[in-house]
Amino acid sequence: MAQPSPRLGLILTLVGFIVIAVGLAANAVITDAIDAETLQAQSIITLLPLVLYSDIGVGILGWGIGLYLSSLNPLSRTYLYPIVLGVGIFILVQSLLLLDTSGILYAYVDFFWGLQFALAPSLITSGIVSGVLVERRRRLAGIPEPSLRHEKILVMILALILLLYYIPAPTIVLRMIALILATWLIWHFLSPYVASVILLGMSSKSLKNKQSRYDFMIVEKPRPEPITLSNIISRAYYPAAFGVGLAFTLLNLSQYIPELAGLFREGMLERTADIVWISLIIMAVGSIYVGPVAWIFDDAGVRLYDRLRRVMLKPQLARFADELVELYSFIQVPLSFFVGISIGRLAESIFLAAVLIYTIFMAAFIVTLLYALLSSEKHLYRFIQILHSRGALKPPEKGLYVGT
Amino acid sequence: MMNKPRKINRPPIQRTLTITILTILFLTNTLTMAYAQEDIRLRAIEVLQTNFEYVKKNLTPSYEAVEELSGYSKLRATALLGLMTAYIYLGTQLAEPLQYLNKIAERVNQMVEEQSGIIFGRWSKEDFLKQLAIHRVTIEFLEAHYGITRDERSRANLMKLVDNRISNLGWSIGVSRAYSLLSASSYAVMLYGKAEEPDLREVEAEILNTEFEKLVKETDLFNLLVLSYVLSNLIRYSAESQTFIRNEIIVLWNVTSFYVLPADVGRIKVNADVYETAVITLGVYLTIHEAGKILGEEYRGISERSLKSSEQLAKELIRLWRSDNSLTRHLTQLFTIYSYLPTLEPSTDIINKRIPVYDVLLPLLLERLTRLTTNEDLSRLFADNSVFAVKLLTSGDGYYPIVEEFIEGAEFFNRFAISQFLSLWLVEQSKRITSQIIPEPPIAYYISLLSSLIVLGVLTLLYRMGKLLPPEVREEWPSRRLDWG
Repeated sequence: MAQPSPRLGLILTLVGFIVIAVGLAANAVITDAIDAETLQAQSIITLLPLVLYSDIGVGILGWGIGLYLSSLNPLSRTYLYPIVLGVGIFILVQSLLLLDTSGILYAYVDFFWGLQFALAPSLITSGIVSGVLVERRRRLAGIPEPSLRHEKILVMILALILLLYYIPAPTIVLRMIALILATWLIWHFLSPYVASVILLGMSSKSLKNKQSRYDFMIVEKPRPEPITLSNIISRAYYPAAFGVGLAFTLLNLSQYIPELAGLFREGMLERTADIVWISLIIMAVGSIYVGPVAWIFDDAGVRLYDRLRRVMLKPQLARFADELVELYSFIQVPLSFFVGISIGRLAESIFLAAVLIYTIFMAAFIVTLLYALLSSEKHLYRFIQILHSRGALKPPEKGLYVGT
Repeated sequence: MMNKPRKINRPPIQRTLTITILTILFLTNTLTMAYAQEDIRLRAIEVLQTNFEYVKKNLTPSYEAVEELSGYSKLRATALLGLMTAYIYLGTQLAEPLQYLNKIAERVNQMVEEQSGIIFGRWSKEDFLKQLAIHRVTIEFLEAHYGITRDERSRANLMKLVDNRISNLGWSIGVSRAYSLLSASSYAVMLYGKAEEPDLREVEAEILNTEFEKLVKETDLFNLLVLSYVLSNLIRYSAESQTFIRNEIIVLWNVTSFYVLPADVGRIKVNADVYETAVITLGVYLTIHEAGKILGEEYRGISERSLKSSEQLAKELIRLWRSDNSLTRHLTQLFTIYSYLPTLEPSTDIINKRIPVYDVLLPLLLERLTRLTTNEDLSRLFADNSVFAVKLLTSGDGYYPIVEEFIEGAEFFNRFAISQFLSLWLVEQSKRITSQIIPEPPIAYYISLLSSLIVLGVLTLLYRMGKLLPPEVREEWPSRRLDWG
């Protein structure tokens, strides 16, 4: 299958520039030739240049730049550059326009909207398409997953940019940061203990009970997941979906339990805002179970050997949570959103849903990143230490235990 | 492990099926809901167009009313047809009704200037009722035409007629220049979102320059209702046109609202005798509520009390207005509608008769209340009733017996009332639909955005089906590496 090539990227960039130039020239000619009164009547002729220079041209340009950047070094995943660049442009333009209360920037609104709604999506899409092509080829060839040298920094920059979206409302940013920090602190101080309790039980009696059937052992080298964009995104999905799902369950319940009704205000906007805050709070308080605990189980390589059935099991609970989250995010949320909040107003619900998902996902993304950066390695060590100190770990048979 | 696709093997068929079925159900549900809404709007517009055909049929080539419809005054019949055309334009916003409206207005203005059939100066006792009807209808028509087109000639004639009516009836707020200018402004606000500032200033000046006793007319309740309505609308339109509201107006509004609103909401009860007044009162309460909302936190008490009273009043009125699947007629004095019956010859004993009619003002107010109320159950109740009325009234071909047929001029009146109702309902409804945020369209067609979204959507679908990426091969790495290298 084809790969993104620098030549194609450069050609598309050139074509993009030509289309923009043609659009601008046509615009100038038409505005000169037709006076203001007939402008109204011939809307298609006057719209075409606008579409050329602020939409199609910029879009092609975006694809060109995206493909070029992706092809710089496909095997070290340079396709992440256009993706992050696209997201960054979209959000920065948005907050720039919101910050500009004097309205000076609105004189160049064609330009900014072109950046936001044509360049940014094209960059993101071209990055993703190139990524798919590169990944396919890599996997078919059987090359192991490489990493971009400074991907960690890239992810951190992305996290900062995501937060920038709310800069026009500084109080929201502060509250956001407070909730993110709270979530991270809870995760940071409790995760290894919660994980060990879930795995072994609270008391030594329950541990004995479990040990009568299972052997606990470590079969892979404990290794924290590398910090890459796709890892952080796929991990952040769980706490976010958990928070949103539970908040919507509360919303549904509030129709039957009057005590809960005070949680949500009337009106679409207010209700959406309430759901966002409640989701974030739920995420802070409760997502430790679907988040860090599951990741510790994954990374530590812990297995349960069932002596009765003679099979090796992964810790079960994370699997159950996985199903739960899936159920929430695919059925519960969209249904409740349309039924509970907007009662069939399609356009507005889609817009609000996008804002809702963005806000919660952003918080989850930053928390997950913080956790991966600052906690996860220590936690693995602490977790295995706890297992050792409680006498749960049994040295595996030869050949199963990989490294120390 | 996290960094491979989350589901390598396909999800179990049952779950995929469940999700698909639920999604399809949900989508069809939403779409049919949206479609049903749209369908009833289309039907309403269709009925308006049928009635426009009726108007065209009844106009001569010189844009006057035909003889059969004219009765004792050609001017009044022409103005009535014009008023109906104005409403049709408001509801459909098509070019043709607007052309007709302008042509009819030209003819009406000409007739007013030639004083054909209209008496300036004192009206004799025999002429009184006829002249009152002619004035009422012509003034309403000129208000509509001026509001829609900002035509100065219509404004001048409108003011002339209003002054003439005041000289015969005496000044009260309901026949004042202020009232007419605000009615004209209401059309402008409905169509363009803002009224002319000089008009609003003139309304303000007239109210503030009138003595307080004359304004409140010895605290006559009906007059107070009208005053409250005028003040609230002045505040609303000023806010919509983003012009300054004077403090004196707000103080006056505050005082009249205090008189008009009931002290105890729970004790509002309506019986059939006061039905008509109650409906008008409901309209006034709603206007007060909207004005109070604009004025903000300081007048929250008034705005909340007016909303609560409206809700209570509306619930009471629905009980009287509707019985299961039909409407209930209520009795009204012929005097209130005789101006709109073009062929009826008025005399004192005829117009004092009480006749049964269907009320079409209430569903309009219910539609407005649907937008304003914060209680979801009530909102649903009001919306249901308003839609019920539209469905019922659009069931015939632009015709529904609002007054019974044996009354002279009933056919025109029925069509007229339906057109008025439907067009105002359409305006209210679109206000409700767009009352919340709608992001403005940045680029004309979003071609880049849409194509990107389509590509991403296809990729997501492929990913979920497990067809996008082959599974990661990790274990075989050393041997493969040798082959590949």
